[in-house]
Amino acid sequence: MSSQGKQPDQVEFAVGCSPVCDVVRKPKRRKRKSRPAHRLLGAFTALPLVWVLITGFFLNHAEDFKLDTTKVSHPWVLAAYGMLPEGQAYRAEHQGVVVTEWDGVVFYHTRVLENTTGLRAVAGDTTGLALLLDDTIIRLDSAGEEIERLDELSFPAMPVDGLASYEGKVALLAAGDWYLPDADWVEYDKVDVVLEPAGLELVNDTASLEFLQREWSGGGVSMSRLMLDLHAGNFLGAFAKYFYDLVIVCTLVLIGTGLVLQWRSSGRGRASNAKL
Amino acid sequence: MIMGIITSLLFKNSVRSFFGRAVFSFLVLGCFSMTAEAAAKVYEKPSSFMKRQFGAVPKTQVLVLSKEQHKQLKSILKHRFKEKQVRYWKGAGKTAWILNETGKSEFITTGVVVKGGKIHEIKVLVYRESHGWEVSKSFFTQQFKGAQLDGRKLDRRIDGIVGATLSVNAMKKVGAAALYLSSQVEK
Repeated sequence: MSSQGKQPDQVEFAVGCSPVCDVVRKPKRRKRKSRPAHRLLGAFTALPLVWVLITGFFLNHAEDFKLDTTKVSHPWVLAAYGMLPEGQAYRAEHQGVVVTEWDGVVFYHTRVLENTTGLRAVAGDTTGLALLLDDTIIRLDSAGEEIERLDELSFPAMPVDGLASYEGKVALLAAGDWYLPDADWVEYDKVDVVLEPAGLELVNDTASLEFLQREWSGGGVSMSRLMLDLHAGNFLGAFAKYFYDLVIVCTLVLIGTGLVLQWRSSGRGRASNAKL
Repeated sequence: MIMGIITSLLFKNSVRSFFGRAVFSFLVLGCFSMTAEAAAKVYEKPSSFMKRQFGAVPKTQVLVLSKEQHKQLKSILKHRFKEKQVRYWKGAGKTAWILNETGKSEFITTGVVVKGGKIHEIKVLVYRESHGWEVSKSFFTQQFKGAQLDGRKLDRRIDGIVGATLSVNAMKKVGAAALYLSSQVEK
């Protein structure tokens, strides 16, 4: 029985002594960071990882999906690869043969003439055509096959500024004078005539331009190359490189936090098994 | 910056603040890329090369290639030789050829002088590629001096240059082709 006016004795409460005390005095539990980090990193890396996995799957089976032989020639894709010609297309025609030049690529009809840039003039003789480039003349036969390439050593004078068809031959405008070559283009005769240098005309026909655009890019980009660039993120330049670095680091942290969570879960499982 | 992002991820519960930091980081990094463009480098003009070899540019001569010669050149160059005829210059017991061979994607214009069935000199006249220009240096071209044709290849090993494999191969093929063509005109 309690006596009136007497204070109860002071009692020291230790941790775990009663449910009430535990609420007040329980030491603060350290916040777990692994689970929210794991959740957030998983959400962040899910989309890029899925992207890499899907494109990787296609690349792994490139032959089955015929990725190497399939070409993509959509203007957006070609533009991304810088495979759209710039500037205007020019053409010249001689006896039904059409030579076109667009952004450094020369076409003989629809065939690309390799290692030819800077077409300036086209003229024909009885054997075929002569193409005047920046520093070279290419002689083609009637089938469009290369006969030879002539440089400054084979010209009568420098510079060569133009070509013209004259009396079944190709005349060269060199250092202000016109010259006619012999059959082998070794010896030249100066001719005292005034000729109109052959020029190039602009190509305006839309269908021709579309065809030339496609051929300029070699038919388009192969699907395997496109898939590889999508897989590696090459379209986005340096941004993709750093972004993929971040995804890699986040994935590694994701794996790390996953292991920590797994270890804790198994630890709790062991503890609960031990209690039972 | 990546560690900062991860640190903010671990110590901040707000998803919005994390993504805000991430987006800001990516924008700061930017998207720049640099490309290298190749321009033709003329080391020596063909006329200068000829004048140096012969004193003056000799009379141009033409070798019209037969089917057999095309076939042999194809086996040397490992591709079809497109031209139907080749020009050469002769004088003082030497034969000079100016040949074009593709390195990676562009022509390498090379002058080759053959004397007595051996390479007297090989010189890169015009180099158009963006990489591999080291083949124009004398430390590389000196290896060709005195080389002869052995079957369809040179009779000696030419040391390559790291990063210029295709250009080195092109030079070796040009040397062998010039020796073969010289043998054809000296028959």
